[in-house]
Amino acid sequence: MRRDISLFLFLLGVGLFNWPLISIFKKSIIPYLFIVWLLFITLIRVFVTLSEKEEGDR
Amino acid sequence: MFSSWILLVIIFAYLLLLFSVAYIAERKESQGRSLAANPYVYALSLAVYCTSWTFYGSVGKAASSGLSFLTIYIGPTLMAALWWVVLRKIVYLSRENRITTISDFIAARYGKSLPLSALVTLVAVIGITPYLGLQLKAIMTTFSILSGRPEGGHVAGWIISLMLGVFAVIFGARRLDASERHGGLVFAVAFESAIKLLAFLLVGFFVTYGLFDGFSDIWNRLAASSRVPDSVMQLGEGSAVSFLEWTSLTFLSMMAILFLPRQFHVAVVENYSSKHIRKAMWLFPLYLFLINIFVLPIAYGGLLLGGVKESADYFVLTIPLTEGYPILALIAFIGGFSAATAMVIVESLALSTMMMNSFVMPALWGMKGMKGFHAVILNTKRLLIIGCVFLGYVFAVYIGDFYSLVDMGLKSFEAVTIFAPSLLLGLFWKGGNSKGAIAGIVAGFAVWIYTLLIPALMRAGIIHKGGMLDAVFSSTLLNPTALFGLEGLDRWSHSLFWGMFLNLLFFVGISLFTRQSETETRQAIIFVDSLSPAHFEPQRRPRSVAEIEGLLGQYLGPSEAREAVGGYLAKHGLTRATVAGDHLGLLRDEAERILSGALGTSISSLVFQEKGVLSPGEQARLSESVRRISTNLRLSRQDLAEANRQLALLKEFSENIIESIPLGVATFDDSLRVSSWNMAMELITGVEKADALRSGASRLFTCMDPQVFSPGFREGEVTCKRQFDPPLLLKGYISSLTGARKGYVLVFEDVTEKKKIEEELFRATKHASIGRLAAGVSHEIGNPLASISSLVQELQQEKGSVFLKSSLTTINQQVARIARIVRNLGDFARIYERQRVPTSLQDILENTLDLVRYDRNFRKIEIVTDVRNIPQLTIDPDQMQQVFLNIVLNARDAMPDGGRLSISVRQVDGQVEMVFSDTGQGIAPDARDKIFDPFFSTKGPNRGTGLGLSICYSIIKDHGGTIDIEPGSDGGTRFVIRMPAG
Repeated sequence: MRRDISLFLFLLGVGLFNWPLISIFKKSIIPYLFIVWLLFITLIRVFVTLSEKEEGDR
Repeated sequence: MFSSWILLVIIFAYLLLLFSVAYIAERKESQGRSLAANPYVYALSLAVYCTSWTFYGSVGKAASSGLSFLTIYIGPTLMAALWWVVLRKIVYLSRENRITTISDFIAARYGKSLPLSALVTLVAVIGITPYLGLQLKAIMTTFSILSGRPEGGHVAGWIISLMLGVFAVIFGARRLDASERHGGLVFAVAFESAIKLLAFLLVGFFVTYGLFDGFSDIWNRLAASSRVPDSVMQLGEGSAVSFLEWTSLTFLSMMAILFLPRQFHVAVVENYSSKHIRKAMWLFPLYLFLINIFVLPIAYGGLLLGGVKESADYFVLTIPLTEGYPILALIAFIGGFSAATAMVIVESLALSTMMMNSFVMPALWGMKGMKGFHAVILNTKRLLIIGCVFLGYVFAVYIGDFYSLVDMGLKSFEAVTIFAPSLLLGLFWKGGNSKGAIAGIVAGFAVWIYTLLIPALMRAGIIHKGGMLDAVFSSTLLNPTALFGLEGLDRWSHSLFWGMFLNLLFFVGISLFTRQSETETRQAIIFVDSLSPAHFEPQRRPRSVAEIEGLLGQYLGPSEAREAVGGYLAKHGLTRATVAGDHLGLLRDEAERILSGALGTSISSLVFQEKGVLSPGEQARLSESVRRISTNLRLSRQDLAEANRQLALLKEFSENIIESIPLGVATFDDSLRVSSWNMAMELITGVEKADALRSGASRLFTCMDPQVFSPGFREGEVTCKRQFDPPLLLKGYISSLTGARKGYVLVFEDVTEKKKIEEELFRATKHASIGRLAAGVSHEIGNPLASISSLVQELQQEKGSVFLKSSLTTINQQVARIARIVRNLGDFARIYERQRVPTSLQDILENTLDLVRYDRNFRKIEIVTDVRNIPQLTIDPDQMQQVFLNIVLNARDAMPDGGRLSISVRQVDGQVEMVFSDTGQGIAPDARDKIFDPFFSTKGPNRGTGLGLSICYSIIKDHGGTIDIEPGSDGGTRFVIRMPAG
């Protein structure tokens, strides 16, 4: 897995789970947090799988 | 409610199950089939992060202060995204440097500083003990809730602490292991993670769908109820959690997932492969997500059902209990128990290892030559483990009552966050040194004590306000909750801000203004440059082919460098002119890899990055040294390669010989397992090489008498009785292997045919001698006998008394008998001319049977013939009829009371086979070998000359055939004659 992808995912997560973005969803913060959380995990999985495949191809 | 005894029995049974799981996993590990070396087990073991704080405390936190509990799990999820960069590097470095604790890791980064290691250990022990106590407090409280006896919790806590200590000793410190890897323990922790998740989901499902009508039902009721204020379900201004607190807590938990000693232990020390990290990057966050799905429904459901937020910590247990589902409450108890025990076991192991490495070993090192030093170390470690567990127990009993679950956990999180600057910056910045790290950690720890621990102890009433202390704490500058006048922050953010600020300030500041020692510089290079992007992003610093070759040649010598570069280009179908872009980067990587074989990864990386750590003089000396070593290595490699080639040829040669010789050869190691098995041995035993190599000697020679291979056996004849084929007579030799490989060589020679030929030769020689004797005797006796016979016949013509007449008749009969014997002797000696003509065997057989058919002795015998289409044979018909007649008459004599004589004639494999089977009394085995010998008879005196079968044998042999005798299937005898069909 590439270092810049890891960094990108981390920064994306920090952005998604912190002010100011979460203040936009203040009214429905619970579903927002859980849905985004699950999507974030899925995103990590996708990148991990892609990197595994890439490594296998190589 | 359950009685205390029943609960203790259940706890004991659960721990027994855990022991079994760990034991099985450890056994598999020792057999090389590790259950723990698995990405799913690794991800589950990371869930030791979810302690009783998660299991009970999250619900309590959700009920009292809304969504802030989620930060404890979102933080690790964010950090998981960085694991491939951070955790993988830590794992790599730990493995390379045999690091087993976080204190050793930080100390190793800063020049293996012992004071730094001791400081980190001290912070960890003080910071984590409350967290350890939290787990035991949770066990004791839940025990009291379930048993309904508040006083029973302490006793149960004591017993359980002892059991957990013993468990940790058995699976964590049964022996001293430099790698500190414990497959059994890890698998048990993973097992517990699965148990706690399932238990929590079960309770959550019960509350959400059993007591309420799903999530929306709970939200709707909440909206209509005044029991839960809206602020609890929101974030930011006007809610229970400010954005700043949210971010601070997220940051704390991000650090905790890396720096808690137990997390470092399972994630780093117990890691089997860096590939497992990749899978855990999404599996572990998914676990956290699942275990949090029902936190809010349980918390708000509990409040809606009449619970109060002060006791919400134990809603997971109390809701099923009050709703009349004690079994579900028991399952929840086991889930919470498993969450707590996993943490206690791993944390106490990790802390004891830290204390051992940082305090005990340096203190005991002077005694290392002492007898039994190993045992002293091991037992000290065991004592430390039990000591850690009981320290937690003491905390839980005497101080724990003043803290809520959340408070204890977050204080520990804050404590381990103190390690973040020196550890994380130490991975990516080479400038830090041990003085800066020590100063930063001391500053951070001081802030932690001052802003978190002391206020907590004051709130608990352990430290009393008043006097000087009151004045200090009330001042604008030194107020522990508003240090230097900084107000408006929650206590976690406040402590985090000042702790990190001063930590970083001292760490970076002192590091920048003090010098690194040589060891620190070397360690900095090793830690920062390992797994650096240069390893993965070769395109960043491309060079020309000539430049790469020159750089490589500087250290390895021009010819080696040319050869290496040429080899790479040829392998990838490139020329020097066409190498560009990615290929250039990859070539550079390859060159770096080759150089790392001589210089090590770090230095070779530096050489290619031209970091300038070596002066030109040093570079020249290093080049010369490496060149010399390379030359020597090359020569040694050539010698080694030649020796290898010769060895391979010799091996092949000897293997070919052994495979091709007609002797069965097998070798065995000293435990009698087959190590080689040649082709002849396959033919002899019928066991294929592949099967033999998997078996022991006792299973292979089932066709032989096992007594043959008694310890004293060296050489001898062995009979191999085969199921479908005739038995084999083998000559076996066993000898011991000498040299490094102990074992035995077994050689089998198939002597069946040789033995048969020897017997044939012996018999033929005997017949020839007897034949010559018989010829002489019959000639010498035959002539006088003819004279006597004619004289007797003449005398019979003369008149005489009755007595004379009767005597002459008797003499004549006896002379006739002697004449018959002499004729037989003549037959045996083949004194008659042979007349071989093409003859039908069927005709001869019919003629023979016609001769005997009317004999009264044959009346009771059933004769069955089976003559197939057979060609005519060139034989002497009279002699052949004599053979048939002899065998048929023998059969008659063998069946005085009747029976069956079966005669079959058929063509088999180019031969004509004639089989005469009778159902008579048979022939004893010892007589069978002599049956064709002249003058041997089993019929008794005056019933035969003993020449009949001997004559048959001679006639058949004379015709180029064979005659054998075998036991018949019905107990009788079988004569088998085989004649050439041509």
